[in-house]
Amino acid sequence: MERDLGTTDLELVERVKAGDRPSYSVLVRRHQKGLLRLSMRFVKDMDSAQDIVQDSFIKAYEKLNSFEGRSSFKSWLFQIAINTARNKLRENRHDMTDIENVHLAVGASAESSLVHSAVSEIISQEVEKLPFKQRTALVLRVYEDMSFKEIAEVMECPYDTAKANYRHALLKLRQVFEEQAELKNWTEEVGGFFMEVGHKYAEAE
Amino acid sequence: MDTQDRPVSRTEKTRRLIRDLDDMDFDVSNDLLEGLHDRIMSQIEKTEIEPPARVAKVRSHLKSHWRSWLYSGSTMGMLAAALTFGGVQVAQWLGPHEALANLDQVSQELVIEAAISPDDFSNTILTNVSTNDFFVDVALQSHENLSISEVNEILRTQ
Repeated sequence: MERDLGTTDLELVERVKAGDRPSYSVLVRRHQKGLLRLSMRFVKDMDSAQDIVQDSFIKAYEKLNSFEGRSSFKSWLFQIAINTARNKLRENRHDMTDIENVHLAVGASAESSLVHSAVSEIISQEVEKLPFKQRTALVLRVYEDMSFKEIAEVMECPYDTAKANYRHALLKLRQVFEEQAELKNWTEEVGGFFMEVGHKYAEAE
Repeated sequence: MDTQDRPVSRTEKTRRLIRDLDDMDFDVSNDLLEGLHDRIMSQIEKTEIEPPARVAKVRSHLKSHWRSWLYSGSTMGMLAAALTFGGVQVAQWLGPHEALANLDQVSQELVIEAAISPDDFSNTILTNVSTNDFFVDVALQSHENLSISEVNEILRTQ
């Protein structure tokens, strides 16, 4: 398997298309963790996330001939996973695990941790309320650190649309920060901290 | 401006805030990942890759087999079009020059003809007799025996 470390995704895809099924195993190992993390952003439940990853890899395999390499294999996989997650959310709208349980399960003995968890919970709930496209753009940008070009590929939309979706999502969340007293107090407390670490994350937008 | 001196936008602050608030615990064990991988691959063993769609097949075929021919064919076509267009242009440019050359040649022949036999030249070439006159002459000679009124009748019907 080590011989495959230097092989690109596109080369592996070509091998699989040519009938070399074991090469697909390399692609699965390479991308399953990232796909699982992405799925968790949408379904908040490890079992459902694993189902999404499994379904996505199987769909990708079936449709491998339609992958032309115009985007990266990872972007294509993410695209399939997001569509699968959306379908799952539609199917199980009322069966999803309560998000509060997930976040309250985080060990939080110290007061600051409790506040952190509470605020985190509010934000998670607000992210869930976003329209699916805005939520997708936000997740890919904030948590997956994708460029707008990559986000546009995953979402199959123009670059500007991807950027607009992300900005709208961020504006809504900022409004939430400003409207909710609890969040406002907290963000003011940590404001100094963000200014301080801001330099570390500075990036051109 | 140095990135360290760049002011942080509110959008960027919000982004960092959200990212910092990320509580999602994502410490997945290797066993979980191995199990997931094995489940996926066991399903893959039973799955077949769908044949390419017809449109994609044609496009792929064109891409892989005919691309070089398409390129060379289109190059040849463009070359032929350029040559044809260029040929027309050259012919249009040469046309008047060729006519002038012919005119020179004809005038030289006329001068020679006039020098050799000036009478013939004046009778045959320097004449203002039209085709109609010629036919009238022929008619007159062919019908010498006709009366004037008959000749006039023939001329009227012409």
